[in-house]
Amino acid sequence: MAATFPYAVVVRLPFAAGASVPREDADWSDVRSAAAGDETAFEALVRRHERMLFNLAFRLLSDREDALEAVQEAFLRAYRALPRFRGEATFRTWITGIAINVCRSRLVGAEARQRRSTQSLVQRDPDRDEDVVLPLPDPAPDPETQARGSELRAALERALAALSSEHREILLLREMNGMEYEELAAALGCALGTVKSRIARARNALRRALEGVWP
Amino acid sequence: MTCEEFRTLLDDDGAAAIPAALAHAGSCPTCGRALERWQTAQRELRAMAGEPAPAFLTARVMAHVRSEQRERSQAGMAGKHWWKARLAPALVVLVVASLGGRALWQALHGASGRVQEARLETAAADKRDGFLLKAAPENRAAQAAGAAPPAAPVPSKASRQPAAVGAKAKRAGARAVSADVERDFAPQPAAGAATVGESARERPSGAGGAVGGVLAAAPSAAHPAATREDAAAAPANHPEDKGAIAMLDAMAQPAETSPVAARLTTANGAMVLVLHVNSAAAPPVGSHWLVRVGADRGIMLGDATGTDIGALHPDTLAGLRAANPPPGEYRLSR
Repeated sequence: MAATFPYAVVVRLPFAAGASVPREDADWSDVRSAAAGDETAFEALVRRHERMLFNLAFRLLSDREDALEAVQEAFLRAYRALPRFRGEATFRTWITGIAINVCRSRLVGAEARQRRSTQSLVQRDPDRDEDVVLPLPDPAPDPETQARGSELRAALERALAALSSEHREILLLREMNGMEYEELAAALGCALGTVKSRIARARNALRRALEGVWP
Repeated sequence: MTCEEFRTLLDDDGAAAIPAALAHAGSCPTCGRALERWQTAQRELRAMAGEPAPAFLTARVMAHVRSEQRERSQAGMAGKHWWKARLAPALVVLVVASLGGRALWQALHGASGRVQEARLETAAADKRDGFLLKAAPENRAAQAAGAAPPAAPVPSKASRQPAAVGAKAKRAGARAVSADVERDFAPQPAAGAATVGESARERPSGAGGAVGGVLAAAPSAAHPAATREDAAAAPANHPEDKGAIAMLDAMAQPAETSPVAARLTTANGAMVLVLHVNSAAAPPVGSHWLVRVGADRGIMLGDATGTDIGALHPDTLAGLRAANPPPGEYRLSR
C-alpha cells in the first residue's frame, strides 16, 4: 500500500510578508546595484532624477541654495534607505516622496525662522509720537527669476508662491512633473480620493491667483 | 453648461477633453479666457520641469555619498572586528603594564634581592671560612695572641685562591653594588693579586667616613696576616658591616639613570677592572675621574683635576671598595 503523505508541505519563500515583486522599470537595476554598494549605479539614478527634483524643490522652497541642499539631502536619505527599498513604487515616486518630506521639513524650519525674525510693520515714531506703518519690501522678482524667462513665467511663479505649500506641491507634482494620481498618492502618502480633491482645490487656487496677474 | 460647471471641470482638468465644455468656452469670453490662462499655465509649468539642474549637483551629491560610503565601510569594519578594536588597546595596556610592572619589580626587589643573595652567600662563605679559621693554626695563634676572638664567622680572604676570592667579591660586593665587577689583574703586581681578593666588605678602621676621600683604612696588602687578623677580628654582623650593607641596600634602590660600564685603568692605560655603575655614578663621556688607592687601601676619588669628589659619589666609592683594586693611581672613565 502506498504511503500517503498526511500533511501538506509548507514551503516558506524567502520573501518578507507583504513584499512585492520589484518593478521592472528603468531604474530598477540601478537601484539594486546601488543598494549593493555600486556608486556608479547610484550616480546614474542621481543624473536621471536630479533635474526633476531640483525644479520641484526650487519651486517649493523658492530659494536656489535651499533647493540644492534639499535635493542633496533627499538623495542621501535615499542612498541610506536603498537596502530597505522593496520596489513597491517606482524609484521616481519614492525619491519624490523623500524630497517632498525634506522640503516640508525645511519649510517648517524656514517658517519658524521667519516667525522668529518677523518684525512688526507698525513702529512707534518717537519724533511724532505716533505709530507709523513701515513700507513693505519690493515684491518684484529677483534678477535670477527675471533672467529666467518671460513676464508670464514670473507671474506664474508669483502665483505659485502665493499658494499654500500643500497646494503648491501637488500642483507641481501633477502639472510640472506629470505624475499620475496613483503616483501622487504613493509619493504624498495619502488616498487617491484625497489626491483628486486636493488637486482640484489647488487648481482652483492657482486659477484665482492668476486672474489677478494675467489679463 | 453653466460657467460654474465649466470651472468645476476646469479644476478637475477635464474641461479640455469634454466637447460641451469646449463649446461653452467658445461662447463665454470669461470662461474662454479662464481656459486659455489655465492652458498657458500648464505649458509654463511643464516647461519649468525642463530647466536644467545646476551642473555640479551630481558631483555634490556623489561626494557626500562617497564620504558616507567610506564612513559606512569603516563603521562596518569596526563592527565586524569590534573585538579586535577593543581588544588591541586592552592588550597594549596589559603588555605595557606587565612590562612596566616587571621592570618596577626588578628595580625595587631585584637589586635588593641580589643584595640579599649576596649577603646569604657571604654569610655561608663566612661560616665556612670561620670553621676553616678555627681549624687553621695561625688563627688559633692569633687567638692565643689576644687578637679578637672569632666570635663570628669571619672570612679568611687570603687563605682562598684568588679566583675564588674574586668570585666572592663579585658575589658579596660588586654584585650588590653594581651587578658585576670584571677584573683584569694582569698588569698588577703579584702582591696586588693577593690583596685584590680581600674582602669586599672591608671596614674602615677609622671613622668609616669619606673624609678626605679615604674611606677604608683597610689592612695592608703587604701584610696578608694582618689582613686576615683584621678580618677575623671583625664579626660578620659588625655594626659597620650593617652600615655598609645598608649603604649597599640603598645603592640597590631603583636607579634613576641607566647602568654604564666605567673602566678603571692604570696610568698607562692598562685595564684593571670594569665597574658597572649608574651613569650618575660614572664620569661623563669623554672625561675621567682619578682614583688613588693608598697602601692602606684607602680610596680617594677625584675629578680630572684631582679635586676630591668622593663625597659626591658614594656609590662609586663603594663599588671601588668592593672591587678592592691594589694600591696605585687609576683613571676611571667610560
